[in-house]
Amino acid sequence: MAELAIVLQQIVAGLALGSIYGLVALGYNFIFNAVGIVNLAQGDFVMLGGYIYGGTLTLLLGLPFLPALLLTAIAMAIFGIVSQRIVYYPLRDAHPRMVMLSTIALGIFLKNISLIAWGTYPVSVSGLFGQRGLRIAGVSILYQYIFILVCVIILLAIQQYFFKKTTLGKSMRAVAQDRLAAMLMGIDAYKMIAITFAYSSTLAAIGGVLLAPVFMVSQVLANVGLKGFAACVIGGWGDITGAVIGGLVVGLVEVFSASYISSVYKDAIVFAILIGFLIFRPQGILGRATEVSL
Amino acid sequence: MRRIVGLVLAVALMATCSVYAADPVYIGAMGAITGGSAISGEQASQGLILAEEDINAAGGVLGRPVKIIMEDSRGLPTGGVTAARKLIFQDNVVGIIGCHQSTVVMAIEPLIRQEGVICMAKGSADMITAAGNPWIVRVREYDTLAASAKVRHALDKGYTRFAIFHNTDQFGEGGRQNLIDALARHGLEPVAVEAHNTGDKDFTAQLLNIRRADPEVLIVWTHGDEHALICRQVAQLLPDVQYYGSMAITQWSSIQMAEGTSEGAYTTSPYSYLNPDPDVQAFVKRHQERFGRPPETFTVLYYDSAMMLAEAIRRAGTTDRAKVLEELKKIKGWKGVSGIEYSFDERGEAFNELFICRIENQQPVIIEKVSVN
Repeated sequence: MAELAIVLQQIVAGLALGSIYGLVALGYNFIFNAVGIVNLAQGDFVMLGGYIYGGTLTLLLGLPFLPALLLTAIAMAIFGIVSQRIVYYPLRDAHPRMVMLSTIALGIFLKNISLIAWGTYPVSVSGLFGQRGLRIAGVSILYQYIFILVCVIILLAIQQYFFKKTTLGKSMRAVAQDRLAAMLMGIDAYKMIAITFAYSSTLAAIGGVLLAPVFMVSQVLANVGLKGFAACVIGGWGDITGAVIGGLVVGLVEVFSASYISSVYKDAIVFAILIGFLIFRPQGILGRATEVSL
Repeated sequence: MRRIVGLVLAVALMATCSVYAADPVYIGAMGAITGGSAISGEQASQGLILAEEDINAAGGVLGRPVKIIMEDSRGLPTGGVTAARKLIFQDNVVGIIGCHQSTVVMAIEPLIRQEGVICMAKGSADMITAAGNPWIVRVREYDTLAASAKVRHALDKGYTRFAIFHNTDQFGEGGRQNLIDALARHGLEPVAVEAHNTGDKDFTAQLLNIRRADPEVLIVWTHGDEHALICRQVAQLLPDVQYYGSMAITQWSSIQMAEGTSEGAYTTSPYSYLNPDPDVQAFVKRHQERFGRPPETFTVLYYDSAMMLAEAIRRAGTTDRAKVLEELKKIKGWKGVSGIEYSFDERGEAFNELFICRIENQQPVIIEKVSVN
């Protein structure tokens, strides 16, 4: 019984972590689908969202959760458009590798600017639930973890509807599939790309807001970007469901490998699996077998 | 005419001499100002700002002002070596205060030895002074001291089943070994030993492995950010285990970050801002007014180190590093703003006492002062 409770606890932790990685992976996927590049600053966007929500809106201005969440999302959407204009647009005709390099630069810039803006102390906010949780038969689950899971599921549903049913969503998909053809059909491709950046930054912001009460906000929070990247590769680049599945796989692998193999090398194990996927199944679990040239 | 020229030259020469005489004496310092441990670097910097003011308000040293140059180690061995090289070769400092990380101190140790520069280390791993480098002294509690004080305190409370959860860096690995040794001296072995890396955020797997071993006491050996998160997760996963933390959990910032989950935890610490000692309280008040929060451990330790180094330079009457080191090591019973009396021993350790603290009502309350003997 005690052992069962421990295994259940591991699964809960793995799923909670995994859904966050999935959320980050979704952000990667949108930009990848729209412009064929990997925004390597995605993790830093999560961190920035966390700082804006935790450091500025909650601690400095004392806003309650929902207004703070909304304002963070809006601020990050604007930030997404601006950063797109600076990092992507001038390089839109260059090799995707160039754009990826410029996103790395953006990430370094964000880490350091946040150190100046919000200081060195991790920002600790309670969010809606603080450290409260459920305790069932020896398994303890933070309410925040349940909240994260629910948010990810809702976001996934909204997203599916948006891309399948709305004109804007269809236009964005059209641009992603063939930018030239979409432009010939009268779609303003660069507007769509700007919206994609705004949306993907908003996703990162939500990730930051959801993570802040559990992990606190510091520069280290940007490291979720790496796990999100692994989730993308494992789930399959460009696949929305794949991103979430990839995230859950990474989360579970992390917790179980830490429990049963080595807690010190858990990240190494995740990245070894990532390399394995890159070599033997580059399209990921659900991915289409398309060629990606990086 | 020649005389006048000679006089002018002599006056000019004297003028330049006096300009040189007013040149500051440089004291170096390092800490992580950026990177994952940037909190500690900021705390250290604040202590040094106040120390520089106080030293210069007291007339500086050797009739010259003191300038403290703080360099960023980024909390990394490579960053530390770069910082040390800059301080030694470019700024020609008398000594280096820091780094606060044992890993970084060990990385700069060969350079310190080779160049003969005083290093007032703030890392707590035993190997720092065990390396036998005559230029290194330590102004911080060392890990065997902290480990045996914790174990003895827990045994006095009647606990016998110990679990250890440590960071994988030099500080944490050293701590693990010190704890195992301290337990062995009482004929005990830990029931579980788990590890985590700096920057880790989720500790479920390790804490569950510890739960399997069913310990009464969990001794955690790590740094501030991780500590706060571990406190939170222990409250969820191991609510009935008595928590013993590293010095970091007494930090005001750490207590805030733990959101109440560090309540009831014990630790050993060289300092608590609640120490009623008037010297400590005067410093706390001044720091609070200046920086808006009470000083943390590294703030007071860097401050005390700078003050002692300045005093050693005064006593030596020169900036010659060997002579300053000799005077520094003669310092006995120096009362610091940490509340500790420093006396350097032959190994270069300034600490021979420290506090056992308990987090009560979100405050690090001093329970007792324990000494080596």
